[in-house]
Amino acid sequence: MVLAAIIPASLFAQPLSPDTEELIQIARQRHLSEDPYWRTLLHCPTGASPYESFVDAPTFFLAETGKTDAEAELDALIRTFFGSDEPKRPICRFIARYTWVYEQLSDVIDTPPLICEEAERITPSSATLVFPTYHLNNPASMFGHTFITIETNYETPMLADAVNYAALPDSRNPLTYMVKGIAGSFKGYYSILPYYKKIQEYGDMAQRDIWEYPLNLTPEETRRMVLYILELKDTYSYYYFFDKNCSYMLQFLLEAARPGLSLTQDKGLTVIPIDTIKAMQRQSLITDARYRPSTGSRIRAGLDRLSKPEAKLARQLSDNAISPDAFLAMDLPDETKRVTLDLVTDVTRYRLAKKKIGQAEYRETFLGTLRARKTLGKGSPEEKTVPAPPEPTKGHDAARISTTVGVVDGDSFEEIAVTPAFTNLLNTDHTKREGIQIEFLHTRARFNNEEKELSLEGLTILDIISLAPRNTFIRPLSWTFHTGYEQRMTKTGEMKGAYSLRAATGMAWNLTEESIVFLLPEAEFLSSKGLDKGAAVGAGIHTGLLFSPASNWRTLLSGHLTRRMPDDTSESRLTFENNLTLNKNNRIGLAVNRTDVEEHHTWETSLSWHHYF
Amino acid sequence: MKKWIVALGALLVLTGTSYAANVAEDCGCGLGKELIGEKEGLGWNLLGTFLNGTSGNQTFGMSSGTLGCSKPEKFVMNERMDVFVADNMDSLAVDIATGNGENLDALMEIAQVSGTEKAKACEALQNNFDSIYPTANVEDTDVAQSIRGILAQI
Repeated sequence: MVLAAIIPASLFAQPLSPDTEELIQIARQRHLSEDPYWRTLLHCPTGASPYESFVDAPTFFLAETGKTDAEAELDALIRTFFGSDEPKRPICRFIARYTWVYEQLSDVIDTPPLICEEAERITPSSATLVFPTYHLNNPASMFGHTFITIETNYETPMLADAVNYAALPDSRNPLTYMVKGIAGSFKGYYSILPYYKKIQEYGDMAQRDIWEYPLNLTPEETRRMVLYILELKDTYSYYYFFDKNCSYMLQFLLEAARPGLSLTQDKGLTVIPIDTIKAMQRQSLITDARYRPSTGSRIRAGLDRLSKPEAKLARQLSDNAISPDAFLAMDLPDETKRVTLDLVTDVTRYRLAKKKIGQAEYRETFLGTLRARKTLGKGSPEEKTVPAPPEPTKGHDAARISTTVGVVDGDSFEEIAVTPAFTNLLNTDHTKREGIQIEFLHTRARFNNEEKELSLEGLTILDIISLAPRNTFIRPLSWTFHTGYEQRMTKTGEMKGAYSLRAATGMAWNLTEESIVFLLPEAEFLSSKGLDKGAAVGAGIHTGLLFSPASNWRTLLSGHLTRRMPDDTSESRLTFENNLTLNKNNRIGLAVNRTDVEEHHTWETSLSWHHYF
Repeated sequence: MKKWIVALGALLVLTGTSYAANVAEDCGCGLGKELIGEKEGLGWNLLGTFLNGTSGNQTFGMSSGTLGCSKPEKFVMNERMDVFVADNMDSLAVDIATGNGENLDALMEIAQVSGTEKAKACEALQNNFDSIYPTANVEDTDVAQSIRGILAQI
């Protein structure tokens, strides 16, 4: 008994399994915590120093300092899962990290690996990057969204699992949404849902076309991605619209799939989804593209297949002015009947999505149309094809630098302009039937050769143009919005700097398939030293014709006509602008502008070279 | 600091439609339901969000596993078909009426019908459209049941 009292108590205490401390030492010797892949697993951008994880949820980490200390996190992982005791944390939430550490230490471990049941049940085969593009009449959605689908047991694309990083907003106020979204106050979560739900959300309800880019990952690489995703369920990072957004965060998934891949180091001030797709193409992750039309696109394609009288029949059918049975009894070829009924089906679904009809009316019309359609057999695939618009990644890069030479009323000038983003009405990358423009911080500096003066010609904070053509079924309102600093003519004929805030809304139509004519009543608030009272409001019209004579040539003839108060002046600004595309990132512009204010006028002609990068 | 400058500088920026999503999850074999709302109108076009997405809360349920389930494979297959039919009522009806389409392909894959059998099955479904969808208010469970009945006879 005396002997027992002498023997130190520590000999009876349960020691830390010697294995875990030894493993930690081995891990240190092998510099595992400095391995780039360990850092990717912890959601730290490639090459970032010092290490910091982008995940904000504390539950993601095993170590208290895991977010900022990669070595502590590795030690904690080894202590938690490589000991002789039952692990106190669920293996599935750490399965990617565990699997990699086990692989790195498998030569010195003699026990088999722990199993995550959930992971074992999933058999991934491949993955696809999905890009819902812009929504007609919402140019900012042109920045788009990206998510990934993971194909497992099924081949049909819509049965894949979509993995989507999105913010969970806790506010519905639009202003708070914006500020919080930019400033990172919303939490971003990964969510997993069947791809067909996303198709319904984007393609059917939001009328956005979807592009699918199959990734050339092997099943093994896809499996690594799946393990990584399992770790991210229920964890969050703060969502920043500009940089830590959906597209940026998805790049981590790809880096996890293929060790050694670097995508996350290129985070500038902004991450634009289409740029991340181009980056993946450069790294040979993507070689193909598939087009999935929205309901709106199917409607437009359907209308194109019909003649005017046939389109009228389609209209009558959708409005229930004639019954499907009466339509079937008409003397028309079967193909025409099929195509018309398919169009009416799409129109009916579109109207429900836009809440133009109620559920009850929808169901009756929908079923009635299908009952007629079923009697007409299968039809050929051509009856349903929708011609694909230009593939988004083939378009120009986001930032633009322009050099211009020109003459204004006899004085020659040179100008240089920089536009960080994004696209201009005259770009030929977009379909000829619509007009889209979003310009951000478009800054122009001009050197006037006569006055030998360099000045700020203009700084547009934001300019958006959305010309959405109307047809018999889809009738959007077109609109424009502009705010910025520019030169405007005063009532004495001088050009003076002015701040303009203007918006217009109206209608646009396709005269032909390559042209769009628009008519938009406009309101403007103008502030300038050149005005009688320093500020004025104006009402007027913004109208014009956008035309594409060739696939690489687009031309715009447009005018702003405004009447300003309290100055009581009329102003007209006419422009004739041409754009010739040389290649993906280079264009030439030729423009002629005329401005009239009361009895004064000025002419300006210019030739520009636009380079995108 | 940089972020606030960018935020201030771009306050008027960026329009978008916002999606408010509510998730109600059925517990069980990876089933889930979502309600998607869409905000529209010129006001929302000018100020909006760009947060892009819903917050589904399933796991790899539909196509890979029926998490938390230990039911026999046949039952699981029926359940998957029920889920698919419930989630895709309209699109599936269109495909059945037209005799082809991705929703029909998906249904056949879930039902494990392929090759020449699949062609016959699609035709049979199209011919039996009225019995699958007898009224405009037909329920998804009945639709799935009718489809299974027709497929069983191929």
